[in-house]
Amino acid sequence: MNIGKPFKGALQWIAALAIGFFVVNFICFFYERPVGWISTDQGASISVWHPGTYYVNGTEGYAVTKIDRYGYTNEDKPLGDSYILVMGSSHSQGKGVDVTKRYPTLVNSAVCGNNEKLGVFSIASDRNYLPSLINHFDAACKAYPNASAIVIEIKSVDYPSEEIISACQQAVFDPSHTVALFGEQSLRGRANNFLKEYFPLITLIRTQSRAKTVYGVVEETPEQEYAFQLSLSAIRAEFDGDIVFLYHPETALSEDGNIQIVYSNLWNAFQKACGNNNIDVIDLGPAFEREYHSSYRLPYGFANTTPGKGHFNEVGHRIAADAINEYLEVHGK
Amino acid sequence: MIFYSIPFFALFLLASVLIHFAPKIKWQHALFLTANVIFYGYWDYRFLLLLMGVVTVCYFAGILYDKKKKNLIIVIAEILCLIVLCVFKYLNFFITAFASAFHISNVSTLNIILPLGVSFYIFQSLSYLIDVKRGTITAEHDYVKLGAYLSFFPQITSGPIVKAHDFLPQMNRLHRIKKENVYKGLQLFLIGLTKKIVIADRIGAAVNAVYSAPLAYNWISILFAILGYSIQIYCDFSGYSDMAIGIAAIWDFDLGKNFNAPYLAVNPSDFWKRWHISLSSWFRDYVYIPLGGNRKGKIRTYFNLFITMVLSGLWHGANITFVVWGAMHGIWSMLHKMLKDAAGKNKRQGRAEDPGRSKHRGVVTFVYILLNFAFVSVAWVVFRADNMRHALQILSGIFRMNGVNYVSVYTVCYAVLLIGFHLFACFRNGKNALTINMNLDKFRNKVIFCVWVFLIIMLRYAGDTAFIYAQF
Repeated sequence: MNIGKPFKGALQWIAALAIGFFVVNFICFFYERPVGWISTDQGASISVWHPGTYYVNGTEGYAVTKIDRYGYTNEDKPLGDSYILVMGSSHSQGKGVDVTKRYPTLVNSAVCGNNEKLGVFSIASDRNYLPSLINHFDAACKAYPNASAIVIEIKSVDYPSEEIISACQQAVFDPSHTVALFGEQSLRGRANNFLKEYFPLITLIRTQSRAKTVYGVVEETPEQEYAFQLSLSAIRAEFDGDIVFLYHPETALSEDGNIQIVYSNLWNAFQKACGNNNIDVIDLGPAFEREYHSSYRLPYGFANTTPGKGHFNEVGHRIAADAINEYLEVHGK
Repeated sequence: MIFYSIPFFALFLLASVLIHFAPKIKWQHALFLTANVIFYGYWDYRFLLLLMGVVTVCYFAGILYDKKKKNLIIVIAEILCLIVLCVFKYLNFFITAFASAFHISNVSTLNIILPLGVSFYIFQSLSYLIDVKRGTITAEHDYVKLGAYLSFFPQITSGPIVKAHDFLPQMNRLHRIKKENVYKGLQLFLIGLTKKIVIADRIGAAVNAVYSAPLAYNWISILFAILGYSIQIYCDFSGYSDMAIGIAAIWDFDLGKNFNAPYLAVNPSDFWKRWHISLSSWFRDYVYIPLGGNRKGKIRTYFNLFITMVLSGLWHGANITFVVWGAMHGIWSMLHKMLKDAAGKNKRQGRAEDPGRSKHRGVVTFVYILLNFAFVSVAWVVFRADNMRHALQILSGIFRMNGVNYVSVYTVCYAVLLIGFHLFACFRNGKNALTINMNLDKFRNKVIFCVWVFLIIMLRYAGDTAFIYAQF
């Protein structure tokens, strides 16, 4: 038997696999390309992205985002002398929506026009939900001390009281916990980020198989009310200016063709705690309903996903921007 | 254990090695049966007993018939098989239908779980019994061989339904893993996988969104959902068939073709020669022809067509929607047959064909294809709907101007892709489905194959991916 032939065949298969991988990996750059990030435990947000890199999001909507100099998803402009700070999750990052159509940019345009400096600055990051937003509030205030108001975007308030209470132990601010950390990365961290940025196919496969964190049903109890009271009074004590929660409930379409606004179980308790602590709330639920009844448009979902689910689409961002603009107008800002 | 899972690959790889080196046919039969038992038992071991019970009934009925030549033996075995199907699949349906017809309230149904693939293996069992009775095949005296056929794992959950006279003779030879079969099987598997997890599942998510709240969507969304479901069910089911046929091909079995570009059909008769070929040929051979086929006059032919299609609908599930779906196809087939008969009469009476028609034959064919596709797609609405009210909500949505405007990018992209393939099949492949069978000895083809694999990985839908036909 000629051993050379099977050996050659095996080598060809290995080469073909490598070529196949690189070809599809190249295509993936235009489909879904993540960017490197670094954890900023003691920074304004839980993480920052690699500045100057391009984030391509094609699995949900389609947008190409150049990460700004601060590691966030704003237009890449310097920060103004005074600004409105936006804290939030991937909804505020504006996944799948062009940067010019995201609500922080829309509000910025309304507030500053074509100013060369940012008057609305988003420090939103992935999976930055209510507990971590509370946890990083003090650090955010210290990192961006010229904020005139703080908008905190949230989709749910249904978190266990223990998680909310432990979030009150504010992250101790360290000024070095910014994009500067990219320069001090370990070899492993660099390798991880290199893999993310230059092998998007691998990241996509990993994302596809990642299980989502599912929280159990959280009921309204005195402990929950106490947790909200404690955490909100803690953040109120850290900042003198206006704090406003931008709450956007989930939506669903019912069988009879109407829109259903699905509020968090603890929404009333949370809203009450906000009122007790002089914290404002913008509830986008009624605006979602009005939008649906006037034009049958939903705030979430894209043409390549399903309507009413997932991240803010252009409509969602526009509704959020309008609501914030109205709030700012009423409050004379 | 779905085809694209690690446990399946492990089982298939191990079984393939053992089968390849098994020195005797009997050993191979035992290996086939063992693999089938593991595969089927992995879903739910309890239903193995039922499956083996059906095999046992068929085995003894065949042997007894061989000895005594009494039709009653086969009839009893057929009834037993049908009882299994009726109890597990239709009992609750009949109870609720009876209660509803006689206005009996508070009727409790039984808590019965539908055994996986029961409709498929019962039909294969019936095929075996009828073939034995007809003398097409001799009764099988080897229990293991018969068991391996009736439980053959590549097709037990969703078909194709392989008739006994097509499959059992293939078991009389040693099966070896041959390179050309592996190449062919792998490519068929990939075609199926692409149809299933890239196209069908992705479009399915968009279709489900519209079907879950049809009153919320406008006519454009509804039309695209209807189109989307036509694509989804074709890619889902033919994808499974391709994978099953591919897996069997690697083991040197020929399960035949189950789909042949069905949406290129010009009429209902053509459609059923292209869609789920194994089921339609089963109904043709074992229901339509025994009922008299077209040999007992026109009226009887129309009736036979109608009843066969209704039964075919009922086979799909215990729901009035499937019966209505079957009846719709029955009426469509009858109408087509009537028009065909009328056209034949005109021809016989010497009326010349319109010269304009023959001149524009291509356009006429295209219109027929569109018309047939439109009917099939509307019928799929009834098939997909939870109940008739739901189906009417969808269909009435075609006239609804207001509502959410949702056109899934994937539905559009994959529709364009499939139209492209179908046009190619139309003009270059004699209206037959395209097949891909690259020679993987060539390096260029190896690269294409690997790019294809990685593209599937990149574009696959990571949500719910259950096979539609596995529920039948």
